[in-house]
Amino acid sequence: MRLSLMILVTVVLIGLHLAVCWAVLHPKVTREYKAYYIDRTSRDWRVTKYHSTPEDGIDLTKPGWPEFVAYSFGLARDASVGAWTDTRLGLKAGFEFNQPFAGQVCVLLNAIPSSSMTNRRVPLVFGDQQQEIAFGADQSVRLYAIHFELPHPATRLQLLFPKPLPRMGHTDARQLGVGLARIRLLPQPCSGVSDLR
Amino acid sequence: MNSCLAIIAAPRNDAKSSTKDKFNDHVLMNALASDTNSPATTLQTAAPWDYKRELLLALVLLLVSQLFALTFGRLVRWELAAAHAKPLEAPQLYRCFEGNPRKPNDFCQLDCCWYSSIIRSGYDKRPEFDQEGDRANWSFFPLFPLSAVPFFKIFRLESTLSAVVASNFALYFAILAFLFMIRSRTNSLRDKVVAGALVAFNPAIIYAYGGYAEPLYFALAAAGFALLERRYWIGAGIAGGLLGAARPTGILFIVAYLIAAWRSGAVGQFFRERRLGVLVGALLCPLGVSIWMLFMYHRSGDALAWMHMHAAWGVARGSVTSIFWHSLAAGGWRRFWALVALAGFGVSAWLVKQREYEHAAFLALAILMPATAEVAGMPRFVWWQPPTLFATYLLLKRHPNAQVIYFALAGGMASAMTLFWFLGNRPLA
Repeated sequence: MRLSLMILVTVVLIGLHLAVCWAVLHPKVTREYKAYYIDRTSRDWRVTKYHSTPEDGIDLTKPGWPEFVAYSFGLARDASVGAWTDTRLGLKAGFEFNQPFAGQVCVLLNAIPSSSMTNRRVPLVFGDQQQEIAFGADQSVRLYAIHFELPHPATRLQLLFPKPLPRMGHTDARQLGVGLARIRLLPQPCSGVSDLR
Repeated sequence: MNSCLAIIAAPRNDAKSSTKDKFNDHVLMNALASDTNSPATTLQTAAPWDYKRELLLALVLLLVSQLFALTFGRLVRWELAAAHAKPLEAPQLYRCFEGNPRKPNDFCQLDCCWYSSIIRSGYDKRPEFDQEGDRANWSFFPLFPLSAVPFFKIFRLESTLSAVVASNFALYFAILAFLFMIRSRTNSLRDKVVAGALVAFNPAIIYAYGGYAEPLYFALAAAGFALLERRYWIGAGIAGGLLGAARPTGILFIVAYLIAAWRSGAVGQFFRERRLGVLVGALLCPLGVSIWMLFMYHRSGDALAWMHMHAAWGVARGSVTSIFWHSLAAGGWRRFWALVALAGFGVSAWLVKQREYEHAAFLALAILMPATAEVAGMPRFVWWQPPTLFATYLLLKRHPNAQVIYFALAGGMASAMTLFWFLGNRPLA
C-alpha cells in the first residue's frame, strides 16, 4: 500500500516537472516581450509612435519611433546622442520597417563612433545588400551618406559587429559601438542629394 | 507547536540497515574532522533535545536582536531630526505607496516594497511599473509574501508592516532551525547561545527587519540541512520544496540533497531495496519552484518570467570572472561586495576541506548564481546562508578566543548596515 502510494506520488511529481519543462520551452509571449525580456536584443517596450516619413527620417533624440518603424534591435537610448548600438544587445543593431524599400535608396546617418570604433569600418546591411561606413578619428556627430541599390524589397536596415565590443569602463558595462542621432531614407542616389547637412 | 517540533526532532530508530551504520560513520567522521573540541558523538547518541530550552533561547535572542535593530534605527532618526535632514530616498519606494492607502513602515524598502505589493494585490498582470513601464513583481518568489498574508488579512496590519513582521517572525524560526541543524555539534548551553547569536546578530541582520525573504529562506535551508543529516529524506525534500518557493537559490538545495543521498548510501539502497523515499524526496526538492513556474506561465505566458524580469532592472548575465574583475577594479562598494562573495567562496573551500560537501556545494552555487549577473546584494546572499554560519560556528568553537573579535566585527557591520538602511539604503542596493 505504502509502495503504491510512493509510486503514485513519484509519477505525479515527474509529470509535474515535465509539464514545467514543456512550459519553459514553449513561452506564449509577444514578439516585443521575447525581444525585450528573453532574448534581450531590443530595448523597445511600450513604444509610442509618431508621424514621420522615411524622407523626414527617424529622429532618435525623440521618444518613440516613426510609424514606418516596426521595431528596433541592438539599440539603447541615450540622452547625449539619441541612441547607441550596444553589443550586449546582440551583434546586429538597426530597425525592422513596416514598409518595404526597393530600388535606389540613399541612407543618411547622423552618427558618431565610440572610442572603440574610431578609424574602423562597420558593415551596414539593407535587405540583402551590404555597404560600409568608414569612421575616422573624429568623435563628433557627422553625416554619412550610403547608397544602396535594392533589387528586392527590403525591410531591415542593420549595422553588423563581428564580435562584442569592450565595455566602457569598470562601472559602465555598456559595449557601445555607434551613436545614432538621425536616420533618413531617400528614394534616390546619394549623388543627387543636395541637402547633405 | 511544541509537540510538532518534538515530532520533527524525535530521533528515528526504525531504519535498520548497513547504510545507516555507514551514515553514522560519516557523521562521526565529520564530527571528528570538523570539531576537535567536541566529543565523538553521533546524532543518534547525542543528548536528548532540550527543546523547551531552545525555544526559550531563540525567543530571548530574537528580543535582544530586535532591541539592537530598533535602537540603531532610532539613533538614525534622532540624528536626522537633529540635523533637520531627510534621509536619501531609497529606490523603488513607489511600490510601497502604490495602491496603499496607509502610511508605509519605514523599515520596508527596496524588495520589501515589491513584496508588499504582492501582499496587497497579488502578482501584477503585466509589466507596467517604473519610468519605462517595464517592471512587474514577478521576480519575487511567493512563499514569503504568503507568510505575510495572515498578518495583513487576519490582523489587519498595513501591508509593508505585515512584510516586516513576517520577516521578523521568520527570524525566530531561523534561530531555532539553526540550533536544530547544529545540535549534534553543541555540547553545552554556551554552544547553543553562540550558535543562536550567529543568526540573531548576523552582520546582515537588517534584512530580518526590512521585510525580506532571507530569514524564511534561512530557516527552511537550515531545517533542510538538519533533516538531510538525519536522513529524513521526505522531510528534507519538503523543506527543499518550500525553499525553492522562497528564493531563486532555493532550487540549489537539490544539489546538497543528491550529495547527501549519495554519501549516505541511500542511492544504492534505492536501487537494491526499492526504497522510494530518497527518490520522492529528490522530486519534492524542485516542487515549490515548479508550481511557481506553472503559475508564472499561467500569469504571463513565460514560466521563467521571474528570471527574465531582471532585464527591467538592467541586470544581464555575463562572465563571472569579468564581473568580479571589474567590480574589484571599480573600488568602493562594488569592491566590497566582490570581496564578500570571494570570502564566501573561501568559506565554501574550507567546508570542502572539512568534508562538509553538501554545505560547501550549496554555498558556492548560491553565491555563483547571483554572481553571474552582478555582485550587488552579496552581503545578504553570503551571510543569510546556513553553511556560512555553520562554518563560522565550527571555527568559533575551535577557537573560542576569537568569539569576542567575531561578534565585535559582526555587531559593527550589522550596526553600520542598519544605519545605511535608514539613511537611504544606497550601499545595500
